[in-house]
Amino acid sequence: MKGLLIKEFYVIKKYFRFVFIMSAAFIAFAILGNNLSNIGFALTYPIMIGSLLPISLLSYDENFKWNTYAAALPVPKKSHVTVKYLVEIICTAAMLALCTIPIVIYLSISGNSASVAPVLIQISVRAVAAVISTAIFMPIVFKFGSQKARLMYILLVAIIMSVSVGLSSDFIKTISFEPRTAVLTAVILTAVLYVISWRISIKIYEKRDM
Amino acid sequence: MNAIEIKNLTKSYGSFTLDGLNLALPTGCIMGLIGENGAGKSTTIKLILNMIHRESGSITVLGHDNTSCNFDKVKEDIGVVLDEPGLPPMLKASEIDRIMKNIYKNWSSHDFKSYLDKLSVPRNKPFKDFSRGMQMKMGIAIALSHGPKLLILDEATSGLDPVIRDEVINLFGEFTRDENHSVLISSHIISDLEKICDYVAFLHNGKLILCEEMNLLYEEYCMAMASSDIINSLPSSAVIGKRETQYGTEAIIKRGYAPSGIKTTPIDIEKLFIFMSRS
Amino acid sequence: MLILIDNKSCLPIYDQIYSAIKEQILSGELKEGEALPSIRNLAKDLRISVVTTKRAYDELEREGFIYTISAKGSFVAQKNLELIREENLKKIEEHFSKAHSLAKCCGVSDDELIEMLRIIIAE
Repeated sequence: MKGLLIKEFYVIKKYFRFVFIMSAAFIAFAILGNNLSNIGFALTYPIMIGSLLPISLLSYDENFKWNTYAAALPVPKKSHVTVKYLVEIICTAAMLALCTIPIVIYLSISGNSASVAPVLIQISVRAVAAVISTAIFMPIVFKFGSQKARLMYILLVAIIMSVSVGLSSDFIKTISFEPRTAVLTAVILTAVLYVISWRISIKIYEKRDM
Repeated sequence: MNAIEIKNLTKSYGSFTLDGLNLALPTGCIMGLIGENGAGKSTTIKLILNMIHRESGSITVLGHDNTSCNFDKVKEDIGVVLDEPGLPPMLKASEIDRIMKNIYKNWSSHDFKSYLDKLSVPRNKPFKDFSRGMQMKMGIAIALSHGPKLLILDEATSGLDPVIRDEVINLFGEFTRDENHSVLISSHIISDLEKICDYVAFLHNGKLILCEEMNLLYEEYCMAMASSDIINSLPSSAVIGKRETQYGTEAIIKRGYAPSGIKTTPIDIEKLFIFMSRS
Repeated sequence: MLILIDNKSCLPIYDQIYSAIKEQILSGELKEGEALPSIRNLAKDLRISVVTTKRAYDELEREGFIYTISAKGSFVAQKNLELIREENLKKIEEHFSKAHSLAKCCGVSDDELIEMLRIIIAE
């Protein structure tokens, strides 16, 4: 597994450096431009892209013909699936840190501590939405390949993200229960969905001929 | 014990069927798999590695059923070179080394580096800048560097020039100085196989038409050149195949049936295969 | 040890190896007790099949020219004088046969042939 992770990070280093730089830039602009009302936009790009990384990685694997080659390695098929789900967790966490820490520090320093909680909620909602999209999409890519999945992806991600953005602003306004519990429930549900997606992907991949 | 044992293997793909294949590679031997494109060589190899699912039959590799759950561990002992490289194109040799060190238990960076040098594989170029030949050589270096007991090579010498092919074939021959090491190699370049194989297997249209010790083939058959009348007068069971021209007939016949006075020369395996698959 | 294999020859390769080693044992080039290369190493060095070298060694062992100790290898057997004499007698017979066939071919009578032999011996 460790070898597979190292390989994924070499690929990320080569093809996704740009993404990390752009994300940092977005956050920096949002903070420096004192444009906190638009922070929603600044948060969307990094979190979404970060959590969709594994799907892009699957697409690269297809181009490299890695799956056929890797089938001859002394690694169980389920590890090839698990590593993608691990990468997802690592990258989403990294992106969350990249977004949250500078913003929270800035807000606290600039005396806007009250805004911290709503911003955290916005971040969490986006993270949950992005991880759910990925959780739905990974099995589809494992089953149908990235080309076919791509079309479905654009549609579905657009729907989910708009729903989540709509929900998050509504939550803040009409919230009748603790935002913290709502977020916590959402995170737990997402985690459960994620694990289910992982198991489904393993079953799909094990049935595939290389 | 046999390094590979295949019994009644069947797999269909639309128009192509691998039909009831029975094949065994004795430990310590090199077996060449010869067949035209589409004969089933790559399919057989992928089935041996359990990369594709078989419909019926059994395959045992290094003593283990290849669908058992510990077969992934058995792959530690199998060095594989496929005809498609499959490595991410940005990787350099040191990065490949780092990845493989963390995949194979018995990976030896020292062996890897020395094979790279022996095969003149550049250390600092990314894989995408390699020529086809260099990519194959990298694959071979990887396959030899984790202490395998069995090498499975699918067209591992295609795209290589004759000098490098000779070196690579030599490496495979050296590999079997150890009597516990075995090699299964499929190739179109039959002259390569003639250099090192103990056994040859002919695959044609999904069927095994021959599997024999190579040196026995040289003893059993010979090439004869004679007039068409003479060749046609031989019993048909003695003539494997023939090529008639207006100047005479060239035929592969069983040695015992060569009429006296006819000049006979040793066969070459390629012609034997061509004649056998035609009939 | 010198072994030259002729791929174009119609003689089976195991036979060529067998003959080459036998000759050198009989002529004394390969000494008693001398170790022979292992079957595998010989095969790899000559670029031929292990099955073939094994056959050659088996044949040599069957005829008493070599013996094998498992895990140690094969060695030249003690000069069996009877064996050598047999071999040499066989060779002489072959030469005589050839001379006789040739004589018949070009019309040399049996008496002439025997006379020629006497002269040679007397020299």
